[in-house]
Amino acid sequence: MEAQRRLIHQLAREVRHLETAGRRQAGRVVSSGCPAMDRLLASHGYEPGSVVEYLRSGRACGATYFALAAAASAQAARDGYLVIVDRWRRLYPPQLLAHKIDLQRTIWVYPDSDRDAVWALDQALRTAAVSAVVAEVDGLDSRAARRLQLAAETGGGLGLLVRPAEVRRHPSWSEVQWLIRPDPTARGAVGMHRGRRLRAHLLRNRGGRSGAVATLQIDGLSGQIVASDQSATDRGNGNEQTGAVHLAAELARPKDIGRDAAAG
Amino acid sequence: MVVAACNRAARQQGIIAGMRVSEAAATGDVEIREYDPEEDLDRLCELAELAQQFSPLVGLEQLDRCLWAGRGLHRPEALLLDVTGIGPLFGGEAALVRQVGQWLRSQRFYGRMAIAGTVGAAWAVAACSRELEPVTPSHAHPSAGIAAGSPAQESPSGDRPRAVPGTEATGEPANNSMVDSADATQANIAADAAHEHTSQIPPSRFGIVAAGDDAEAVMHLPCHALRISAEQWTALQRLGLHTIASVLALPRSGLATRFGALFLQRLDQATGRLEEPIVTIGGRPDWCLEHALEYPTQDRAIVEESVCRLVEDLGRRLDSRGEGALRITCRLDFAESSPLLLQIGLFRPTHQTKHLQNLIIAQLESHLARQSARAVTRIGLHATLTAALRWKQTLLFDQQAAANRHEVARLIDVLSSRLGRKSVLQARPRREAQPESAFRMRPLTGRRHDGQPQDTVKKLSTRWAAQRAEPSSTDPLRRPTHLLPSPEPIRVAWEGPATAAPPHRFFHQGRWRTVVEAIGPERLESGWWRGPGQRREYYRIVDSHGDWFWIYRDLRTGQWFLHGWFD
Repeated sequence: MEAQRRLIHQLAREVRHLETAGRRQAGRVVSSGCPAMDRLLASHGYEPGSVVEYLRSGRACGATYFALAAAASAQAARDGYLVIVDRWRRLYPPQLLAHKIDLQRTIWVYPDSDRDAVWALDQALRTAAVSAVVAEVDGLDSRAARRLQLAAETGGGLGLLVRPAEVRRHPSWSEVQWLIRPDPTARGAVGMHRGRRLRAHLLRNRGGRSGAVATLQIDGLSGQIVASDQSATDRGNGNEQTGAVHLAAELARPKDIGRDAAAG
Repeated sequence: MVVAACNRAARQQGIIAGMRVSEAAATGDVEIREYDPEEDLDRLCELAELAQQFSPLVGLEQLDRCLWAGRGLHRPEALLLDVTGIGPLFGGEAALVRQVGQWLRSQRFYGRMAIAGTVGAAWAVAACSRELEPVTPSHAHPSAGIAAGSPAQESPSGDRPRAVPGTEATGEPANNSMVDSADATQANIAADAAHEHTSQIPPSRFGIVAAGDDAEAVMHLPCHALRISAEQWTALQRLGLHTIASVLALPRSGLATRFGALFLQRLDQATGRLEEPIVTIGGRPDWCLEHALEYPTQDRAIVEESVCRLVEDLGRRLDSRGEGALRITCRLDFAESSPLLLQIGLFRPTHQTKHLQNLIIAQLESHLARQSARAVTRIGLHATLTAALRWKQTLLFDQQAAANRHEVARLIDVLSSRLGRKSVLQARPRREAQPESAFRMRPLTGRRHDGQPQDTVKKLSTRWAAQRAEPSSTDPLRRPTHLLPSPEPIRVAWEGPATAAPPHRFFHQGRWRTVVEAIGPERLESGWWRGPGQRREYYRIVDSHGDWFWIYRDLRTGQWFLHGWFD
């Protein structure tokens, strides 16, 4: 039994090597921005030259936050540039500061059409100096997706695409595909000021096992994405410290209104 | 903070340029937008390029210091055209100036124009004369120029009028006997322009000063028509000198003692005693190349080949001077229609021929593909902004960083060339409470980078950036990931009577969403000095599906808006 498992593991590794042989450089893997998510991935992070898709279940479910966390991690790891391809001109630049992204090394591209957006993505992914490209892409046909994947392999950066959940049934060329959803059990368990609890469902994991689900929390104080349990422990300590030191800041912080309290 | 410019509707409410913004805001319901001097100047330069269809010599007025023209002039607002000997080609000077007026209208500008023997006289008449004649449609000749892109679309102020440039055009007096006179061969056309919808733009106005009548034409004009400083103008008012005629009646020696040599120079320029050259926007003639085709052609291959040769020539010239181009303008003149203007911006100065060729040809192809075939007669290439090439010795182990910079510069150039300079940007945070003003986007190409800031400045700016950071890294969920360019009004409902508390439900994207939790209010108010104050109470809310939104209540109207969401 053990020998069989070892054989499967070895074969999986060989398949992964064959699949990723086209990559120009086999550099260090880049963290997804969350250790708990990294542990679910075949390489414990994103391979350079990968396309990663974050599918969102709703308009405001937190998928972009995950993409920005990975982009920050890639920018720090490779000391390169970040390109944001924003078709609808809605991404809010100051939010990138919360992820400690260097705005001096961030290029914003506002294309006027889907065609221009795919072209800009392709150009940016082909550039070796670009660590990551973040884009919201709704419609992407198979050819365009393959083109982006080849571009990422050429440049060695990360393509981080935020897409609607409806495309999960479509064929994909991405290495990793996550479905981000709010955690249905979070209601009432976590106050808004303490953070946001989400579920990341690993739909596609090239060279590794898919199907895993991670319950995660965006910490309200640090902004880090942590496993939900760990978050509770860590933040428990953090709260005591914050309460003791930053009294003035707490007064300036907007208060938390429960739905019932507000109604009353 | 003062008003830089205003439209007609604002002027009717009593708002004038130079007024404090807070005073202007108090006059009623006004919309105030931030003035972008760089964009203003860019647009004026673009107009100057296109105006070359009327004259080969086009320039901007020079402002050595802040001048007083009834208001402070901080930037060039006038176009100067040398139209010496050009009038007959258009059927006379009056026909020429009418064509210019129609062209300005097609560009969504209102112009005040004058033709005179000197730059000073034309400027004075265009800016201050009350006897200008309107360019009526019945007078007008077919529009001479259609530009690529309209100012109202490009301007951040949208289609709201914005005072920009006055201009002047000079022309040669019609009288041939004056042509030999060096002083009389110069004249200007001036046009005070404002963006408006074409249908709402009043016809431009013009005046033509007869040959040799420059001094007489400016006599009755107010003293600020002389383009003097505010201090000099105040001193003249104190002495009771209100018109140029009253100044000319005084002895020159006394004027020089009291007001200085520059004042006399301005006086002489207005009356035609002193020549004033027009400084063309073209800058150094070495960077202006032109190729006239032997016969008009629609053959794209020939046009592209000609452009490539001009780029090669320009590259050689830049190389020999150790300079690189930051902005290049390529103009195609057609046999029977207005010229096509291509603007190429670069992130770093370059003289690499291949790179420049690729950028220009890519943009040329996309433009020609969108238009019907037209016969090209002449091609012009002009490096409008250049900078010295910087050679910096790289560290032994820093080669990767240098290669990165080079690659990113190439990427930015390619993206800007196809998508446009204003679509490839860099974001800068600003210390503003109003979320939509908390950042500013700036084009990455076509700007001169003057090296690294000094260490002290760098440190200070870093500290400032950290202070300005909103949201700070210690409060990451305070601001949304997505912000709507303009807040979207939403319908809201409460289970009981309406209160100031966040609603129980709101209507968005075709369905009612139930609010299960809310944080707030966070009150954000814009500074009173920025005009009509924005007073908002923001709430972060979660709906029953777990989606997070950012909504606010306008404290002035009580209406609710969706402003962003946390994706």
